[in-house]
Amino acid sequence: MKHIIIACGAGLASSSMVRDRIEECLQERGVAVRVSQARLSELSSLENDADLFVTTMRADNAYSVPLIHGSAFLTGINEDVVVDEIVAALEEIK
Amino acid sequence: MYQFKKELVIDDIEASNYVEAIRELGKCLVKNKVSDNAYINEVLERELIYPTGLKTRNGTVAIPHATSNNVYENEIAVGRLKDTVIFRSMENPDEDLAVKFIFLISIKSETEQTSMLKMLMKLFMNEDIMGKIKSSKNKDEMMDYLNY
Repeated sequence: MKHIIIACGAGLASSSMVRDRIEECLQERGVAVRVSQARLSELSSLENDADLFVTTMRADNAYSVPLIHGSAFLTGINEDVVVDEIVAALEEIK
Repeated sequence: MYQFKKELVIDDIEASNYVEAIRELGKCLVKNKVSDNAYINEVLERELIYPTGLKTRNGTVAIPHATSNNVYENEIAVGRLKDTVIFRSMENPDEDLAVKFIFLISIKSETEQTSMLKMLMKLFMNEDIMGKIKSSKNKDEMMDYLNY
C-alpha cells in the first residue's frame, strides 16, 4: 500500500486536520493508502519511507519524494483540485 | 464531541497586534489551568517560524498552537477581536491576513486529539454557522453557535 506522510510544523495539529480530510476524500474515491504524520523538519529523513509528502505549509520541494501542498484541506478552498493532484501523483508512482 | 467552554471564550479583545492578541487569549488558558504561561511563549515562538493564519472558505481565522509539555488539558480558547490584527498565512508566510477570530489550540503532545481538531475543521467548513458566529452580537450568542 502506498504511504503518504503529512507534515506540519509541529507534526500534530494541522497535520491531524489535513490527515482526516485526506483519508475521507481518498476513501470516497476508493483509493487505499497508509497515512502518517511528521514534522516538517523530519521529512528529509523519511524519504525512503514514503511515496508522497503532503505539507500544510509552503515547503521547498527538495526531496526525492513528490510533494503536494495540502493547505486546501484546512481552508476548504480547491480541495477537489488537490485530491486530483494526490490521486494523480499516487498513480504515477510505480 | 468537544464542547467549547464559556470561560475559554473571549469577545471584544483589544489588541494592536497578534502577539498581544495571543497573550490576552492565553491568559484564560493559564487562569483555567489548561496550560501554563510557558506554553503561550512556545506558541508565540512557533508563530514566528510556522505562522497559523488561515484563509478559509468561510472567513479568515488563526489557529495558533505548539507542541508542548506545558499543556494540561485538551482545549480550544476562542477570541474575537475588536479590530483585526495581522497574522501571516500558514500556506504562504509572505502573505498577511487580517484576522478577527483566533482559535488558540492547546493539546497535550502525548495524546492524539483528532476528534477535537476534526470538530474544528467541521466548524470552519460550515458556512451557515461561521456566518452566525461572525455576526453574533455577544459572547452568549457566540457560545450557542460554537456549540451548535
